[in-house]
Formats: sequence, C-alpha cells, structure tokens
Amino acid sequence: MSHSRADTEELVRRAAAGDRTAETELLVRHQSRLKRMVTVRLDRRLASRIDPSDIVQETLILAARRLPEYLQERPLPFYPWIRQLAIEQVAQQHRRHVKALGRSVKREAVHAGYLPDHSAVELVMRLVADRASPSDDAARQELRAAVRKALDQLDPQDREVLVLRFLEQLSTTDVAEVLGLTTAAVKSRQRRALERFSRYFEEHTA
Amino acid sequence: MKPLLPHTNHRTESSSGLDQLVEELTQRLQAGDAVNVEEVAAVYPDLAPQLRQLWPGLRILATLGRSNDPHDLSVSSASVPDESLHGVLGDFHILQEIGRGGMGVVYEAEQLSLGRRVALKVLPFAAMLDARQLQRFKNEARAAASLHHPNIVPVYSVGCERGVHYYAMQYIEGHTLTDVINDLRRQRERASLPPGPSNDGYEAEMTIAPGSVSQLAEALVAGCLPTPLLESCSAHAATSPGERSTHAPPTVAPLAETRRIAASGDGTHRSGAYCRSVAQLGIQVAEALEYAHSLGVVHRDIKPSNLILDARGTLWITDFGLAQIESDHALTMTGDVIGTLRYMSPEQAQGQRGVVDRRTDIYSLGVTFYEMLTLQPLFVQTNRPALVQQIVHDEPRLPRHWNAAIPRELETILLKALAKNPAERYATSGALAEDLRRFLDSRPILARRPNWLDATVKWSRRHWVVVAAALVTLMLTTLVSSVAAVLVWRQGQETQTALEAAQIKTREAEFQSTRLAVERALALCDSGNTGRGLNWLAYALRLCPEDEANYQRVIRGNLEAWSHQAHPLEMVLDHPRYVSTAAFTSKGTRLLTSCYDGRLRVWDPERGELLRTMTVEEPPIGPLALAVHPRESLVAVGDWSGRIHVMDIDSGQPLIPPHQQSNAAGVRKRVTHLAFSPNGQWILGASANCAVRLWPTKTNGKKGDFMREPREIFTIGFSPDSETVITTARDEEVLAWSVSRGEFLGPRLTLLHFGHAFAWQDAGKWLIVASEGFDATVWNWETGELSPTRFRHMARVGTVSASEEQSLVATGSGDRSAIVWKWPSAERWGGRLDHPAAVDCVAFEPGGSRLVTAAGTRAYVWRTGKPELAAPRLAGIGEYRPLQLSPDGRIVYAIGEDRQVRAWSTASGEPTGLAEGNAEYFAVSPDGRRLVWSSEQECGAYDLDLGQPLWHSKSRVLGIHFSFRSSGEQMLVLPNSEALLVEVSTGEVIQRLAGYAGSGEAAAFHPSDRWIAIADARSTVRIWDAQSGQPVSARFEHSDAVCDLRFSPDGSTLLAGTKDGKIWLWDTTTHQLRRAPTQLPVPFREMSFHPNAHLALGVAGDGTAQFFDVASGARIGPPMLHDGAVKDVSYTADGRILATRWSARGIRYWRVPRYAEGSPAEIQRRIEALTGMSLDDNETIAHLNEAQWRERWTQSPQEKAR
Repeated sequence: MSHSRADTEELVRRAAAGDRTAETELLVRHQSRLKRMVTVRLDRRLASRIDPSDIVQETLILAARRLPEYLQERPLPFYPWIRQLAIEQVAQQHRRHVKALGRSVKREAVHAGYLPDHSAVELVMRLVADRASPSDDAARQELRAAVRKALDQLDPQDREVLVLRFLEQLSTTDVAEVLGLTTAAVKSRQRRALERFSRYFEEHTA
Repeated sequence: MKPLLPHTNHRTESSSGLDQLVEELTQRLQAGDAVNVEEVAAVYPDLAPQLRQLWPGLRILATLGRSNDPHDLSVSSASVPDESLHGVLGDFHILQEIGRGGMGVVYEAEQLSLGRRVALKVLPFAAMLDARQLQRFKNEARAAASLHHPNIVPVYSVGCERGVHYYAMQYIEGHTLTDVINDLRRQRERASLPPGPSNDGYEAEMTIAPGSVSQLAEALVAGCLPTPLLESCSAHAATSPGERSTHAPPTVAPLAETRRIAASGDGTHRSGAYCRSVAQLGIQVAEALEYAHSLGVVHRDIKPSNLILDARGTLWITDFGLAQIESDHALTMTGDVIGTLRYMSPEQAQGQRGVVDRRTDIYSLGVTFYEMLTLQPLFVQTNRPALVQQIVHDEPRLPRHWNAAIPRELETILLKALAKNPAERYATSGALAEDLRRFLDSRPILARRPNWLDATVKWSRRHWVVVAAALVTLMLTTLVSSVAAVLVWRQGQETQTALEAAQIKTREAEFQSTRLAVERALALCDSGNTGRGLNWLAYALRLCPEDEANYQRVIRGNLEAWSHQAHPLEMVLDHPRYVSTAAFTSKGTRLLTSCYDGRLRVWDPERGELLRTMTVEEPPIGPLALAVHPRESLVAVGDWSGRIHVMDIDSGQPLIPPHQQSNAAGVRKRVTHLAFSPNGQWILGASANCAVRLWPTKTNGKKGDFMREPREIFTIGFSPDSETVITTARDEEVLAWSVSRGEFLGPRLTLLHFGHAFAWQDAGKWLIVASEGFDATVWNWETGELSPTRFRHMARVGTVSASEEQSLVATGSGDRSAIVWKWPSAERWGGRLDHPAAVDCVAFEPGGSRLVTAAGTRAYVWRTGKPELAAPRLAGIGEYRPLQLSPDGRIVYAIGEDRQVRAWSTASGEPTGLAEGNAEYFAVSPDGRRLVWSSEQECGAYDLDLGQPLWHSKSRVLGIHFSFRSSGEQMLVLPNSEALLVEVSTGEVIQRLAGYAGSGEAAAFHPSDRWIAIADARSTVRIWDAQSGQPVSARFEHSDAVCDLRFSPDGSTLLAGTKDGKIWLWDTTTHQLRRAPTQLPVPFREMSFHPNAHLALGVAGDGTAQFFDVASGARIGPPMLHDGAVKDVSYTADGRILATRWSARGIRYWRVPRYAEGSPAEIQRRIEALTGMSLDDNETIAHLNEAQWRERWTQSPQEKAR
C-alpha cells in the first residue's frame, strides 16, 4: 500500500545530490500516510478544532526546511524521520489546545511522542461510531466499550504496535523502523499483542 | 483452500510461523479480503488453537483500520486503488465508478432529491487544502458552474459532505478523446496487419458495440459525424443545454453506411474526411472556450481526457475550474503528472502561473488536436524535466510528417495555435474557430506567420511562377521590355499590398500583445511583485509597435514610476552550494557568507569581489555557524566538532584558541547557532546536542550554561542591552537568562508557532519573531503581550532582521520572497524581493541602508532605499484649503490654525514666517514671487521675495479661485458670479470678461496668455480673449461639472476633467472635441491635470490617488494611498514633485512619474540589473545568475550610478 522503500532511498540519494524534483517528490509521496497517522493520533477533543491536513501541511513545510540538514546527517530512514516531525506537530497542537482548554497535561508524556493514553482509544471509538448505521446503535455502544477496555488494559508497547500496524497501517518494515526493532521482533510483538488484546476483548464482549 | 504460505513450514509449533501467518492474514484483511478463519485453521491445524484465540482482536482491529478510508480520500486514491466510495454521499447515491485520474475519482450517481443521473467527481486533493485555498476552489467552481454553453458539461453543484469535497456534473454518455485516440491507434495497428482472423475479430467487436468508442472513431474516420453544433454554435447564447435535448438528436450514421464511406477512403485517420471531422470538433471546443474566456474563466487543463464526445457528435468540455486549484496546491502532484504535463503550454509547464491566460487553453487545444490528427503525442518524453525541455524549446514535428492527408491550411492553423510564444498564437479562441470554419468552407484562412519576412516568403512561394515569368521576360526581351515592365510593376504592386496587409496584421497583433503584457505587469506590480511586473513592462516596451508613441509613453511612465518601488539589487553572489547565513560587518565594509560547502567567504560589498575563503576544519563538513562582532572586525565561527573560533576578518587569523562546546555528558556536536552580545563582550553558542553556552569574546573559559531541557535549539540571541540571553527551541516558549547572574529567568513568552529567528525594535521594547505560522509576530517584551502587528507571508517565515535607524523590518520566507516593512506600521516598504528559492537569511547592514539575503545557492545585496519622500508634520497648520508648493518645492504654503497664510519648510516642517489677514483662500504666482489671499471680508497680496505686503483691502473680495497668467503679473478671479482680470501688484481690476455668469472653480490661461478658459457650474466651458474680454468660443458642453481645466503646453488642446471621471480634449483651433472623452476607472471621480498635460491625477473617495495617461486613460505608476479623500494637490514648477493633502495635518509628497529613457533593449538590461530577473521572449521569468547579472549591471550605467 505504500511506496517502496527502495524508491524512497533512491529519491533521498537524488535529493542529496541536489535534485529539487526529488526533494518535492520525497515530501509529496508520504503525505497520505502522514495524514492517516495524524488522524489516528489526534486527540478526539481537538478533532473539531484541527484539521489533520493542516498538521500534515505544516509538517511538510517544516520537513522541506529541515531536508538539507536531514540529507546531511540521515539519522534514520526517511519515513520515520518525517513521521517524527509530524508526531511533534501533533504533540504541539495537543499542548497548545489542551493548554487552551485549561487542562494540565504532563509535558514529558507528550514530548516522548506517545500520546496521552486515551487518545488512540478515543479515535478507535470515533471510527466505530462513524461507520455503523443508526440501527446498530446498541451493538456499536457495546463494541466501543469492549475495544476501549481491551486497549486500556494493554501495556503501552503492545498498544503502540497495534496502533502503528492497524490504525496507521504501517507495514511491518515501517513499524520496525519507527520502533527501532527488527521486522521479526515486530511480527512477534504484534502477534503477542493481538493475543492479549483478543483475550481482553473477548472478556468484555462475553 | 490453497495454503497461504507454501514457502514456509507452518506445521510446527514455532511461534515465528504463527507470527508470519498473523502477518499475512493482517495484510489480507487490510487489503479488504474476506477471510474465513476456520478455512485457515483447517490448513494449519497446528496453529489453529492460537489463531482462533487471537482472531477476534485481529479481525476487529483490521476492520477498524480500514474504516478510516472514507474520511481520507487521499489515502484511498493514492495508496489503496481498489478502495471505492460507495453508498450515499449527501444528496447523491453512488452507483458505480466510471473513471479516475490525477484530479480525483468520478462516479456515476443519482441525485436523490431530483432523481437525475449525475457524474460525481470527488476531489481527494481537497482534503489537503487550507481554508483560503478551499475558498478559492469554491469560487472557481462557482464561476465554472455559471457557464452555460452547449459544449460545456454543466456543473450542478459543488459541496462537501463528510469531509469529501465533490463536484456534481451532468452525466454525459460518451467517450473521452483519450479513448477515441486510443481506439484509432488500435485501428491503425490492425489496418497494418494482413487480413485474417484478427481483422474478423475486429469486425465482430465493432458490430456488437453500437454507441461504443469504436463506432465514434469509425464515424470520425468516415467523416460522417453529425455536426449539431455547426448550426447551433452561433445561437448558443439563446439555447440552453436543456432545450437542446429536445432537438431531434442527429445520430451516428448506421454502421453499414459508415463502413461503406470509410471504404472509399483508406479507412483510417489518414483521410481528408477524418481531418474535416476533427476540424469540426475543434470548432466546437474553440467556441465553448471563447464563451468561457469572455466570462473570464480559463480552463487551464484542456486535454483529451477532459473532452467527451457523445453519440450525437457533440464534444463536451469538462472539469472547468479544477486545474486552477490543482496548480495552486503544488503538493498534490501525485496524480498523472506527465499525462497532464503533456498538454501544458510552455508558460504553464514552467510554472509561470501569473502568465497563464486564455492563450494557454488555445495551446492545449492545439496539442490535443495535433494528437487527434496524427495519433502521435506532440512531445514524447516520459520524464518530467525532459518533457518540460521539449515543451519549452523544441519545435514540434510538422503534422503532415505523420499524416500526409492533413491539408496545409489545417496544419498552419494547428501550428499557429501551438506557437511557443503566446503572442504568436491566436489571440482568442473565437479567431481559432473562425479560421477552422474558413478551412472547412474552403475559404482562405487568416493564420499567417506574424513576421513579414515569412509573409513575403509565403507570398512569393504562391506567386513564384508569375514573378519568375516576369523576370525572365524582363531579361530576355529587350524589345518588348515595356510590356514586361508593366507586368513586373503590377506584380510589384500586388506584392506591396500583400506585404502591407501582413504588416498591418502583425502590428495589430503586436499591439494587442503589448496591452496584455502591460495589464499583466500592472497586476503583478499591484500585488507587490514589482520585480516581475517591471520585467513585464520592459517586455511590453519591446513588443510595442514603434508608431504607438502614446502607448510607449504609458509603458515608460509605468517603468519609471514602479522602478522606484523596487529595492535596487546591488549584488548577486553565486556559491557552489546552499548559502546558510550572510551578514555585514559592523561598518558595512565586508560581507560574510557561510555556505554548505563548509567554507566562509569574505566579500567586498562595494565591488562584489571575493576577498578570502576561510575554513576552520579539514576537510570541510557542512555549513558553519557565523556571527559578526557588533563593533570590531571579528567573526565567530562554529564548526562541526563543537568548536567556536574567534577570528580577525581582515587577516583570517584566530584571535584566541577555539572555545569547545559540549553538553553535560561531554559530547561535542556541531555548533548550530552563534550570537555576539550587542556590547561585544560575549559569544553565545548553541550546539546540535542542545547545549547553549556563553563564552567571553577575547579570553578562554566558559562564562555560563543556558539550557533547561534538551530541546533542539531554533535560535539564540541577546537583548539589546546585552543583559539577557533568550532562546527558542522546538516548542513555543521563549526562555530568558540573566547574563550577569547566570540565572534562569523563566519562560518569557509563549509563541503561537515555533520561532525561527528574532529581532528587536525600539531598544528592546518589541521582540519580532519569525514564525512557522506564515508570519512574523511582534511581542511586547515587558508585558509579554502579542501586538496585533503582523508581517505576513505565504509560507513559513524563517528569518527576520530589523533596523532601528531606518525604522524597517525585513523578513524572509519559504514563499521565495523577502519583504521590507515599515516599522511600526507593518506596511510593505517597496515591492517584494523575489528570489529563486526559499529565503533562509536576511540581515540589514548596520545603519539599515542595505539588506543581504540568502536563497538557495545565492546571496543578494539590495539597497533598501526609501521609495517615498518624507513628510514632516507642519506645526500649526489649519484645516483650510488650499495647499501650495513653492516652485522649487522647498516651501509649502497653507492656512494656519490662526487662519493666516503661513509658510513651512518641506524638509523640516518648521514654519518660516508670513502672516497677513484672515484668509480663506490664497494662491502663489507661478514664479513663486507673489501670494494673493482672500476671505469673505478682505483680501491682499504679498511679495514673497521682499517678505512684505503689496496691498491689503478690507472692502473687496476676490472669491475662492485665482488663476495666474504665466507671467504672474495678472490674475483671473471669480468673485460673485463675475470673472475679473486683476493686476497682481496693485489689486486693480483691468478687465471684466463679458457674458460670464457662473461660480466655477476652474479656469486656465492659454500658454500664450491670449485666451482664458473658464468653467461654470453648469458644466460648460468657454474661452475668452484676455485682451478684449470678449468670448471667442461657443460653450463646450460636458457631462458633469468641470473640476479642472488646463491647456496643453503647446496650446493646441484644452483639457477638461469632469466630476464623473471623464477627460475631455478640445481642439483650441476648431473648438471641437478631439475624440470621445476618456473615462477613468470606477472609484476615480475628481481629477486634476499635471502641468505637462500628459498626466491626470484621479482622486477617489477612499483616499486613493492615481496618475493616468491623458491620451489613453491608462494608469501610470502605483496608486497613492491616503487615509482620506485627497482635497488639495500642488506641484513644483518642474512638475516632479506632487504634494497631496487629505486632512488638516495629513500631507504627503510624491514623485511624479517620469518617462524611462533609452532604447527598449537598454531598458530591459536596466530592469534586469535592478531586479535580478529576466523575462525572455517566451514570456518566462528566470532569475539571473551572478555572471548574467554582472553583465547587465556593467552595461547599465544608470543602475551603477544609483
């Protein structure tokens, strides 16, 4: 579902050699993935105030500025790098708006790139809500509660791998890059997380 | 079922096998497959228990993830091609997908409320638009929806539902020209095969598909396409699309007949009939475009896939209004870029968005029909840069090369539409349609090469037999030479006529292009893109026919006036790689740049000479951080291993051993930012490992650490008093530390967006922060409050600099511009500084008279000269009119608060004396020696040379309008419905004009002083003889009250300006209007004339004043903005300076536009040297490199002298 990494690598090489078209192409090709990621990561309370596209746009602008620096140092592969920029943009929005809402949010938690625990869960709920027809209302409520509780019970690493893999829809290779693991480790972690999630989920729907 | 994983053995207990199975199931679920877990379990019995256990979670999560798609169409179209929209979207029930392209996905849908079938286009890119762009898209779409033409697909509605932006159009049953072309290509390939089974298959396919694309193609080839539009086109205005459907629809001829006709030709596109069919289609599109263009709507994306041919032979244009927004959003180039690019005009392909106009559509139509006629793409390159190169530079192969059946006339028409230079194309689509119609009617077409030489060549080609015969006759027969001579003479006459006709046509085309170029230029200038606008003006001057002297004056006037708005470029410095930082030294004698090649360059800013290249590490790694000492010739340079070198700029030698930056853990990283304290004592350094340290300038040893949290530092610096260090990092907070105590003072400001750079104004009162949020914001440093002042850009603002001396602020942005602003009003100071890349650095020279900018691999130095004249406050000025400048402009006269006429120095605003009586009106003689004043009770005159009154009368009144004779000895006054000539030195009445009874406010002496023209309140003007006092003309009637009268300097014309914004030119000999009055554009009502009688100053109620060319009504120079309607104006004797006044204290001075001198080529060079850009004959703007710029610069003595 995404552009191949080999292509991206080639573009990075061309961009580093000064090819401006490659630079633009690099930024453009990831925007849809970024948008999905931002949509997933955006706190539900902010969803009405912030358009994920705006954050993606800001990210791309920022990335364009940082690109020369990135190309010099290349601390990590391209997508994880630009995704990290987007995560920070999201975190920034959260800080700003949560501040504006007068709530106290622990800065460190935000800065680490993981969002406040409830947000991913909230998003899942939103997706469930949007997709179902009105007649399914009761069932939807039930499903919502079950998924929420099950995700709540997972430890953060398990939850993160499920969010990356299923909500951001990253490939295992990408998840590996983002989390700094091997793909084998990602697959294994994903399987274990699914086992735990399913157990909790079944408990709540039983 | 088939095993999922044949390549691995899952029949073990190994968890890696299960991992792999889960992964593959995940992929299948995410791709939308329905997976039956029991089937999988049956294949992998060993893994079944665990699989069943995790299945519920896997299924729900995979489904949830996928359910996000309808909200995220950019994902669904770009990354998940088989994901389609289905169900109900607002008022539309989606039936099926009928196509997709770069612009979005098209569905066939039913509009539920009206029960009609529509084509619904959903626009994935819309999700990426910001509010402004979205608004623009909606405006464009509304404009498109307002188009009603039988060849334009009607737009029913535009809207947004559940975050999906859509566009509902009439559903057209037909095929795009892309399909038609592809079918014809297939047909051609089949035709080249020997007869056999494949051909039979083709027949079969044809006969079972009535209304199919093949049938349409076949009808085209046979030339039996019905032509409903050829009749209805001319009457389209009266025919709505709905009505048309009630016409008996002509249908495609029965297939058998088609075949028969086709058989008479060669049955392919290589037939005359086919070419004529295509020409008919061309007329339909051209007519529709003409209609849209007449309403100001340009399509911008004409290509085969946007043209739909229905079974009745009607060709429909679709997707009006979409291309605009697509090009607006550069980041959406995810679609079929090449497919779109192939049909773009050269100006479009080069991204010259400002110059894309209706002629772009004509070009794209040309490309489309080239492909229709030849079945070959115009240009074949498949990668973007190469294709752009072809579009911009390569001449296409002649269509007849591919298809000899194309008639020459049609080829000529096609080539004219495909001219690289828009000015050489058809000026309108209507003209293209007309020529196509002429071609079909076998009348001579109008298309010619605009060059008269070509015309001659063509002419002589057509007539070569006659010419040759004549010449041969002339040479061979001496006896009958007279006969031959007559022949030759006749032929020569005919040649001459043909040449003249060609020349006239060329001239008209050139003049039309000239005016379009001027329009575009002024639109660019108005939007602040002065550099581009000036280049367009210089281009217009090159285009302008030589005999259009008046219009040349318009262009030259605008060139001169607008060039004062441009900050002159003083230097272009090319670097091998990106320039990261640039700065002047404290005295402005050196310029330093830091480049990504790891070297520091020291330049002589006067001559642009590279004095020295410095490195601090071998080999160089990347850009070095740079700070210039505020007083001495020292520079601080930070390298990639954390060292800070303090060096003497002149010698290049280090002053002290380098300071070593490291973080708490001792890690040494690249120095990213450096700053000197304003008092020069300290250097502040920031490293990539987030360390921020303070060092002494001239000794070693650390002074302090200023870091609270490990964040990436964005910028660092000092307060103007050197007492405080401030930093911004990857958050919105501005943190502060005390230098003397080394204490953290806490977060001082919380910004709205990341801050990239800052600058100070008013000695540290205001902090200006360049921000991620597309602007620079201003904060009160004491209170932490955000000022409403904003310095706005179109993209991130990454750099800012301030000059307290000049009260200026400069910002640089990712929008490829730097802007100089006035402080504190935040008005733009002159035009935008146009750059080839994002502006990464701006820095004023200390003193603020120059600005260095860095963009891409270039550094630029601009003179930030003041584009307007200072207007100091006039102490004690009152509210009464009028206002008058002395002939030399040094003194301004007005009525003071004490109601007496007073004089002020224009330079200082200080009063310079003069006081006499209670005045309500006054005037100064043209020689500046006398001043006459008047009120309702008294009047008097004053000798300005001697500084004493000439006379004073408490018993007379002179009214409120005086006009001096050019000599200044006598004047005309208009008191109490009388017109009197008065001796200025004594106040005696010497003549009473017979028959005047009015109360006009306008009068003028003829340059010879023989005649006086006076307006009365009834909007009439009459001329009197000054000697006899008798009228010498009838009354000149006008449409409204006359507000100003002036004779031209040569006395041949009397100019009258009326309050309805019209300029009237009266011949002073015949007393007839020279031509219909010129109407100024809407807001300009009142006007007055400049002494040269070439310029009129229009004044609008909103405070705008604008010069216009009297002859053409074209505007000259930038609008002059005031806070209220201008009431008084005055010029210096040489006419160069204008004073305007809109309120008691509101006075401004302006440079009156002059006329740029020199040949068009000289002016072009001058403008290129001034702006650093050039506009070539293909109407493409390019940024000059250093060598190109220097060449212009050295050839433009006037620019050098500036």
